[in-house]
Amino acid sequence: MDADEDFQLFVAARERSLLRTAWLLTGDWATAEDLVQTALVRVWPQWQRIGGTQGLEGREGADAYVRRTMVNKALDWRRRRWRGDVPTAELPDAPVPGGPARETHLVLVSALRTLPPRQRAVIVLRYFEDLTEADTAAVLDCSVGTVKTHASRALAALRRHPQLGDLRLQGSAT
Amino acid sequence: MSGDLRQLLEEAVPEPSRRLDPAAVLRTARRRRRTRRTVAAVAATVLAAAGVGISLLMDREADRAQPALPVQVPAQVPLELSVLQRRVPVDHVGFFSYDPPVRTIDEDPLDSAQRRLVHPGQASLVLTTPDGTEYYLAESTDGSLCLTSLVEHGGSMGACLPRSTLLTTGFVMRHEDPTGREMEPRGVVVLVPDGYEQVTGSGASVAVRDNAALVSAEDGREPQRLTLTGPDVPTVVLQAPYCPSPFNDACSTHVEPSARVAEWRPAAPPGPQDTSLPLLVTERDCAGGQSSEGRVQEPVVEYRPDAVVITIRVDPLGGAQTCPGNPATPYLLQLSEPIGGRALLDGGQVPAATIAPPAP
Repeated sequence: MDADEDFQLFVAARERSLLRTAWLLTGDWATAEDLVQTALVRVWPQWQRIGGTQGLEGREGADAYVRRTMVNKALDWRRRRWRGDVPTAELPDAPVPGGPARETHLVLVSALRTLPPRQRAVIVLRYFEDLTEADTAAVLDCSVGTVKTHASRALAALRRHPQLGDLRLQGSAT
Repeated sequence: MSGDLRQLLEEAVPEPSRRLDPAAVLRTARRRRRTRRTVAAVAATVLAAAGVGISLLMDREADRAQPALPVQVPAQVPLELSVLQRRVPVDHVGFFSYDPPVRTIDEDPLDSAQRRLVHPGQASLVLTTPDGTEYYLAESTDGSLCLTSLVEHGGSMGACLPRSTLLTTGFVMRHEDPTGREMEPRGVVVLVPDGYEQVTGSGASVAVRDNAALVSAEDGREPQRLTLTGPDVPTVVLQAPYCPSPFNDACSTHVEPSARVAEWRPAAPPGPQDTSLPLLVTERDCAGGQSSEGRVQEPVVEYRPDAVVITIRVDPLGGAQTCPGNPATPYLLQLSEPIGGRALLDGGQVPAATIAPPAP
């Protein structure tokens, strides 16, 4: 199997997970797709160097590399992007009946988007991607202490949210 | 109820609405590598030619510039910005996207909303902050204003909003640490039309220059309330969260100043030493003949040497209302200083109009 074929298999296998992470980081599907594609396009020239062609172990290394590129691009876009435009390919979803649980999810995602970018990234990496504090620090290129501070502030902000206050959000450590 | 954040997030994130095409990603990656190699090869030549070429191109672009669309004028204030007449050539500032890699301010169209600039490749420098960030303003043909920051050593961010938002939601951009290290905002850049001379927020009043003002943050928070004032324009109050906001999430939640300007008159002749001013407030909007009690917002009061300018707004009832005329609603205004011999002006009128006290 050549490197290009291997790269395409990797994209097909990981795109769902990467897109969902990107959606949490950016807030809409169009930007999320841009973000994932940008990260993959930038990773491809390094594919052999980062071990993408070296089986499962290499795939995990490539996965971490893509994830790191994606988070850094998301933070970079925060500075570069013409904000004020959120292009969408589709009409907004119609309200979906889902009861209180669905409402809680919407409120949580909405509250997450109000966090500063690095706090948001820490929450996504720690509690959605399930990274350890050390791995999160490696992705964000900061210290473990900084990750803890961001996580603590972010959780505190989410708990202060009027509609999330009674959830007693638990961010269990790993 | 207790919620494990990991579980909640897993349940909250929907399935992607579309899937990436791995072959397309690969094609884009190859194209990007080819482009980068080509760009590197010709960069030196282009740079040498650019000095001559850009100025010629700017002239040509300005000649074929499209006229701006008519601008909606809310609040009876002409939304002119004199700074737009003073433009400089600007490039490499603008929308960032993977394909094409960078869309600059001289690109046509400017962004995914198909906006085109009235003067492509040109923008007006409205503000340089103490930390070295420059803010540039450009006008698009759909009547929007595009404000973008330019940080030394690269990086820019910006937004386009309709010109009509200047005095409704406001055009307030968060100013951040240009190095990106600090999370807390350093302040906000406020864009205002001609006629506005002061922006007050965080307990400080900042003079407007070139249609913009930088209001500093207070204790790491952006000012939560901004008051825009000028000698012959109505006072406007803006309240956080402002537009544009990061990723535009909070813009739709902006509520103030949705309240409508109301008429008022003193209920009794004021004395020079008075700091309490009983007023009668009359709502202009249709309210089914109901009192405005409980819906009168905190008035905005500007103390000038020769006048006290009072602007009062009332939250509208909303929905369909009949218009039999509205009763005057008593409201007691507390002033922070005595009126003295100054005139009372209604800031809700343009220009602010003198309100004659009732006969004793």
